[in-house]
Amino acid sequence: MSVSRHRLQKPKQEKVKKLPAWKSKLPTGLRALLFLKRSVSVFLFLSITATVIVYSRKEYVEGEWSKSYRELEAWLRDERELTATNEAIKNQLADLAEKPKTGLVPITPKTTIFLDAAEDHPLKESQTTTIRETFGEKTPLGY
Amino acid sequence: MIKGRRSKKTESIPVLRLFLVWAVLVTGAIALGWKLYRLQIVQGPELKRKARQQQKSPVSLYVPRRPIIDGEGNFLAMDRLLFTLYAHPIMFKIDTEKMAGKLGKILPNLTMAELRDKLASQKTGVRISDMVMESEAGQVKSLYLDGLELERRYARIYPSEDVAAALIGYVDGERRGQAGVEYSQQTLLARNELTLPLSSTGMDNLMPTHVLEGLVNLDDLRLQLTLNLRLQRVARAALKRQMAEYKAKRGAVLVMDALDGSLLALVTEPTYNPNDYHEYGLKLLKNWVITDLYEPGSTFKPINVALALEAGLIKSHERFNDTGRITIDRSVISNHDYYSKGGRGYITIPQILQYSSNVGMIRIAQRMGRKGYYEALEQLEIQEKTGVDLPGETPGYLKPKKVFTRSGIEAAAASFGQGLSLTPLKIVQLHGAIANGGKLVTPHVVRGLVDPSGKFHWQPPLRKKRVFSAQTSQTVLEMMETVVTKGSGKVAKIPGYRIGGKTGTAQKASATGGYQENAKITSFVAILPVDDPRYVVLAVVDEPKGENTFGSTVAAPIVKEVMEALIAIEQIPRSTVP
Repeated sequence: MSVSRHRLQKPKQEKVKKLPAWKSKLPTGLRALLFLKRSVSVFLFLSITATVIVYSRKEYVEGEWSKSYRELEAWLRDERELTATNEAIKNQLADLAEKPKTGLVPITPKTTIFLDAAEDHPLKESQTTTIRETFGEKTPLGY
Repeated sequence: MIKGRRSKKTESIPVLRLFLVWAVLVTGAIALGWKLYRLQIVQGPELKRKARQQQKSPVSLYVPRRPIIDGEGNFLAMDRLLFTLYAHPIMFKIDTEKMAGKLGKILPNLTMAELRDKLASQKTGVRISDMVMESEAGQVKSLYLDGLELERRYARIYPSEDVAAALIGYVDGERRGQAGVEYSQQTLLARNELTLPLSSTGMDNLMPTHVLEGLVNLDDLRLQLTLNLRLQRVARAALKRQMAEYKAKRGAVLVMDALDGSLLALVTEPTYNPNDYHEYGLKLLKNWVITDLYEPGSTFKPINVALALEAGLIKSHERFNDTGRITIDRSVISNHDYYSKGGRGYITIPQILQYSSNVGMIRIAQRMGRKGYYEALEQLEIQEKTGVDLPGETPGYLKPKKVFTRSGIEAAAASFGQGLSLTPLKIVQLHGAIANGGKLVTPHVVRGLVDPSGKFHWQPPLRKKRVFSAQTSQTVLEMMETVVTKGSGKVAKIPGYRIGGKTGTAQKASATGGYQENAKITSFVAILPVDDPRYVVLAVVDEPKGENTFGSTVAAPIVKEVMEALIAIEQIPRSTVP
């Protein structure tokens, strides 16, 4: 309030001078520093953005890796248990099969079917050579 | 214009307020700086240590002792993880009753009452169970309860139990192989446990920082054996049946592929279950097929015929005078059937084998001369180990050269397989030379280290040494065929297949010298098929009891059953030329 009053009281005593553009008056060193400040700000912003992206990406990948590793462990565990169970069952079955009560008989040539090897049918001579001749050496293989 | 107005405003801001703001900011900055200094510099190392401790946890990777598989990929030995569950009731945050309820759901082998008693017994270090399966341990972990502790360990299991124990062996409590392949291939099977200090997040997730370095070195190679578990089972069942019938002391069956010496079956009875090895006596734990010597008796006759033929001292069509009994250096040696059949007169070499004539064999050995015969026997490496990849092999025994050549009785006894002793495995190796065209191969059970796709990463080096010519071995094999078609080995006949064989019924040497009156060891060796010889099958039954106990009655039926299974399993086609 006091400022405005002061102005109103002395309207014509001081002439307001038009100020020169401050930038042009600033010393070169200061201007360079200002430019540097602005560049650094831009650079800082970009770096922070990049860091955030990289960091979140890393966190995500780590999470994924960890998840996959657990899955792998679970699979390996299942594989081990399945193998052990499978072998135990096979052994049980084999033990059972040895008992005559089960009605299973051991494998012998009598219970095996042997097929005679097929006779040799020599392939007829292919006609590749004639084809080559027909098309001759004048015809290129590709264009 | 705007800038001009602002400058005027600045002028009017009271200095005090400005100072206050400045002071607050600067004090704040200084305080923050101080705290930063305290945290980073003063307490830095201590905090860093604490953080590491929280983040890094030693993770034991699953590095099992390598599994052992048979020729068809069946698992013979494999590792699994077992856990011991400890409880520390003092650290429980829920009451004991609840805890017992939760554990009872996971551990089916323990009743609620048992669990309650255990939990009430001590304040800390209560061993709840030491046979917690991997999946159960996972469930216990996922309860996230304080006061429970799981201790991991590897346990070796042998799914085939006592079927191939003599061959596979077992590992002791410290996971060291103590017998069989587990012992002889310890370096291939054993692997060090791998514990990596991995970083983990607050959520207990592992962080992949150092993992790869350790994981790269892990492989899933398996030790593959040449054994065929199906054939092994058949051989074992046949042997057990005959042993029960004749109340025999012990028995063994060996099947070898003579082309490379790989053993397809190796059964010894009685045997043990490697899953509970500590329940058996030490005597059962050794593999007597390769550790114990016996006098092979008549199964050695074809080898002697091959030696004489190879030396060119007899002709295959020659005849020898079988007088039924003969006196050598004042000792009388007679044929096993001398009292019923007497002398047979001039007979062919195949007939000598068919009737298992001792006198005929003595005549053949005499042709070679004591020194020549001894040197020929030495060529067969009887006093050396076969080099089998199983522990505890004993080399065979020949009398010293001086003793052997001093009188005729030694060479005469050796001609029908007495007075020298070998392991059953050595007999198989020698007959292998007749089967494969004259080469001594290294009997072995390890085929190599194989990955799950079936690619081999290591295979044992194998040795071959020629001892007979191909012609000699084929001639002897055809003579052995007549033993099965016309002689003592008729029991082993299989229609459609040409089989060579030889029975053996040997007296057992007694510890005091001489031979035991009623103890004998019966055996039968077969080679098949004669038109494309490849497999050697030997059955040995020690001390069968009863009247009619010969190689032909006790051991030959076992060999026949094994050969029938072998034909079906290995898909051996029928012989084309009868």
